[in-house]
Amino acid sequence: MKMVDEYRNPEKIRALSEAIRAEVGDRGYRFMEICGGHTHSIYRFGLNELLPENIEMIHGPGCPVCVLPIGKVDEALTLTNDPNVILCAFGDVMRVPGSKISPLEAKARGKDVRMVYSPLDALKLAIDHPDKEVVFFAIGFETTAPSTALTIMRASQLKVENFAVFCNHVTVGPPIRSILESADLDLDGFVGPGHVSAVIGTTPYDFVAEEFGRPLVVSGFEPIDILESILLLVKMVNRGEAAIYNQYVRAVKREGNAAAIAAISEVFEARPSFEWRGLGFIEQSAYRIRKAYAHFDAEARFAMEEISSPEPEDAICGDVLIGAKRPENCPLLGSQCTPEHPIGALMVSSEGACSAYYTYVHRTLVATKG
Amino acid sequence: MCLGIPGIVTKVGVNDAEFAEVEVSSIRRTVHLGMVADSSVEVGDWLLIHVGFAIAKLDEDEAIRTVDFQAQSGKDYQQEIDAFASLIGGEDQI
Repeated sequence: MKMVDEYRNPEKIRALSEAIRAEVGDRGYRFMEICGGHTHSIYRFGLNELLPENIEMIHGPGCPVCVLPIGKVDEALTLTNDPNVILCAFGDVMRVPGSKISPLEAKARGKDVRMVYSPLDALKLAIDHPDKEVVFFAIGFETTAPSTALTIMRASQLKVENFAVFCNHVTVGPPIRSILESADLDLDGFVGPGHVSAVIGTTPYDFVAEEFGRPLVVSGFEPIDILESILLLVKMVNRGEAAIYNQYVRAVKREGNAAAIAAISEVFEARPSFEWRGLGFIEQSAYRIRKAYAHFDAEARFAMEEISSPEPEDAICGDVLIGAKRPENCPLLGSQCTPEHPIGALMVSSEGACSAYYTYVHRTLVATKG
Repeated sequence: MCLGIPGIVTKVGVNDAEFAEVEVSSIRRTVHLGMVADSSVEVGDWLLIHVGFAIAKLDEDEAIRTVDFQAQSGKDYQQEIDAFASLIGGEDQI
């Protein structure tokens, strides 16, 4: 079982931490980890504590539940006013508060909302209930989008008439561009996402180095993966180098997963523009269903209308999402907003920066203070 | 929700060639193979499973290490396993 410990070996972690300390110069370093899974690992293993003070890790917008605008939850819930509709969603999505209620609360109030593990479960429900309209509330980055695409292809192949998808899939490249174009953040480099990159490969990040002169390291999720990636970033910054590097070679290939990419392009096309929580509207940043599969597009089938809903009062979710503020700056965190009773989406998913901060830092601080 | 969990293949050609049965934490369910279609999948292979789809083949060392890593995260892994175990109408084959 040598491999099991290889990426959590305390001596190796200490050595990497020392190597980073030896490498940093007399300047500040601001790196953004894009993926919520990395944010979770950083808090869970206390990696911030192992870094020198002049390295600041900014938590990015790579948690799919967190970037979903409130209005999209409201739009999905309007579908449940039709008693003939069964709305299906992943577990995390069930708990995202809309402007009034979450899908879970809608279910408690008698609406037909069901939690599913897979989009294929929603398709199975449609097959089992031919008298109902089953709508899958799809969210997620490129990790999840191929699953929805393959489910739609399966529904088409099986000619399932009563299945549709409310497509809210997003792509990781455009928000990185949007963040780089925002002068306020002044980032020195990125820790790139792991599982998204297993699908898309590393070429979609080339613009980060070529157009913006910043390094990006695609990283695994273990402490040693993340520390190695940060060390690589520090070295590149010190040398004035901007390159895209793949630290997570055991899961990510430069060209990505061809079958997954093909499924995405078969079923989806880019939306001209899509709203992101915290980032506003970003061009070409999300997928919609192609006309060839329009029968499975809930927006077309149910004539859905866009709803724009305001952020909860006093919450700073948007600023935390783009790294402009930190979870501990929010007046609601720990008092009104907790993982049990989330007000903002960043507290819903364990990959959200606020949930990770609350679980691994806030509770400990409160316990220490007594 | 981006969690991918390793599962070991226990049966191939379930329903049709697009599906295989995998076992995760003693629970078996069918998963879609559309994203690993370019490589052969056999009983005993390890797959990275995300929302009912195999998104990559894993070598055994990487799979065992990932299971161990995720199991230590407690609640999140358990939630994923609970979701993995939830079947619609007792049958998960489409």
